Amino acid sequence: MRAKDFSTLLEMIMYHVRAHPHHQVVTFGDAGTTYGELWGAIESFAGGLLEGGFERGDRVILALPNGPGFLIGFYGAQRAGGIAVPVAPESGVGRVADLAALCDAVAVVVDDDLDPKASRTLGELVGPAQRRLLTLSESLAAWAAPAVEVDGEDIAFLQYTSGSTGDPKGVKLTHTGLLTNMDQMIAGMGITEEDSFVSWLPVHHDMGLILMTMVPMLLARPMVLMPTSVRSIRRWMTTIAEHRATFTAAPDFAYRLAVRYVRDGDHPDLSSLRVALNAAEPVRAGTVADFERTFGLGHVMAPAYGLAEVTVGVSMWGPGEAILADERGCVSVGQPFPEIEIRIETEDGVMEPGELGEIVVSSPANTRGYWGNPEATRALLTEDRSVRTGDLGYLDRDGNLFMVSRLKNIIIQAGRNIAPGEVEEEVEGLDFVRRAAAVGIDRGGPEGEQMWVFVEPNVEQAKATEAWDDMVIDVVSAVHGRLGMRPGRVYLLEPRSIPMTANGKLKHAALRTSYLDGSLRDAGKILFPEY
Amino acid sequence: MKPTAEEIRKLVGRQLGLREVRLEDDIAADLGAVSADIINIVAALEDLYGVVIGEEELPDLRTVDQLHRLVCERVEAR
Repeated sequence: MRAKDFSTLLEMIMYHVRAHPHHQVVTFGDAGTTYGELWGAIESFAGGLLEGGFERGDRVILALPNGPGFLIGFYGAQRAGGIAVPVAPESGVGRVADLAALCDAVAVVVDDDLDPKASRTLGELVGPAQRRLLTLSESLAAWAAPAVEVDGEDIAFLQYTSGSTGDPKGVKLTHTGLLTNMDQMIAGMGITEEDSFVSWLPVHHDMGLILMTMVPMLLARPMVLMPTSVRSIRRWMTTIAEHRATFTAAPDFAYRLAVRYVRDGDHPDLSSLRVALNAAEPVRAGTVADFERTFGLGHVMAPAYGLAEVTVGVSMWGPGEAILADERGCVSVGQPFPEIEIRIETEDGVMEPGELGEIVVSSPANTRGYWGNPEATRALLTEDRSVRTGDLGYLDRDGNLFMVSRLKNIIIQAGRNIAPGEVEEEVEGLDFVRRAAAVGIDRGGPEGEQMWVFVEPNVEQAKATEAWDDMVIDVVSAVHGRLGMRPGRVYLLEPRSIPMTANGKLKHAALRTSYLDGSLRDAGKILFPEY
Repeated sequence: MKPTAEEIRKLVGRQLGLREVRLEDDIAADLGAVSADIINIVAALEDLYGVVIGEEELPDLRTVDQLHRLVCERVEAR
């Protein structure tokens, strides 16, 4: 089955609803949902939206956790002729409200068990005059939606990503682009109608959503979805074993934790695995070796590369072959999928094999740009509509891609992209803070890169040693409230010790270096804590 | 020098952004720490007290009190 046989995602689902309504589309926990049940709920969700005056092209924010409920909201919004906007459900209410305002959503849909306090706050923040706040069950109408025309060129959803400046940008992804990239990935990854999928990834993000739910739906192959929490890493492994799954995907850190959580003599049997795709953060050669050795597997781990701006998948190392690492220890992410071309560019033009530069991707699945942000779109797309990825890399003589580092200061903690600017803005909102800098620090431990926050308190407060403890607590709490994740560490610094450029930009790389080489501490710039 | 329970309590509170931390609190269940938070707490303790806590010990660490006792053992054994 090819995705290109369909013009929209809805047509793809409808095909399966007609062909085998009682076939299971997804298993979540102990419960399965059939194509017929899913479609019925999609119709009710769309009916509820249209009843509320929803119009073609309107946006719906979905702050929903992994589970069939997400799929109902996601395709229900499209069925009503609109655009789904998935948001991490653990985001603070402030962030959800900000994104709702950025894309001017008409409704925000949250999980039924969102705690009443958060719900009230969110209700106030989203502004009832502009948009409605609904729980998933409130969103379902008792009647099915009337027919609404949906076109392949329509935007199916906006994938919000963090830019380095802190303004989240909504990548526009069309039905056609999604279907095209699905075919590219299926061909490039050698996915067949024999594969079965277990996913622990969040469905609100592209890899978990497109690769791990849309591809299995297209092929009507078994898809087991799990709660996406670091606490369920062990269960992710045992679920692969129970379902004899052949395909899974995760960022490197998840595989590192999987190795750690599995103790001697208690190894789930993962021999069914054909591909353990490793992407969304730098791949460590050590993780590949540890994972395959721990579970007694051949070459199943496949380092891969992708980004939302090209829909999702760009390239993958062929499973079944030993990985390729260069002298720097950088692991190749393989060759591009069909119809995708990669070139390496610098100010001097296109680079030769082996030469470093920015990775530029040309593909029919490239985004048309960012929602309501022509300036960022111009910076993203070249004249021939290729995507400037903002990643630094090179191609070797055989055409294998190596992603070396990011050009921007994005922090990748636990596979999630974090914009330093968003963290800094939140922390600088605290009344005792003069300036803040968020930096990605990787000390080589299993946790990988972590967000560390450096804070200069105001001059007066910097002297109030007895308040330092509380200041750190407030910083952690502010970041956690915003992003749903905590910094690895917070340091209070002497006033004017965060390095800046002449025109007032933070020098993140210089700060990271001075911290890691000990010179920041040696110069007496760190006030607190003493470790 | 062996850490006091108060020092450990404060360190855990700083890492998790909490003013109220009790010794009997379960770090994950009561204080809401996820795995990455626990790894970062351990890294901070290692930096502060110059001890090493193996990764294989983490799944058994539940309460702040257990964490305190473990660090004391390691400081003594040094």
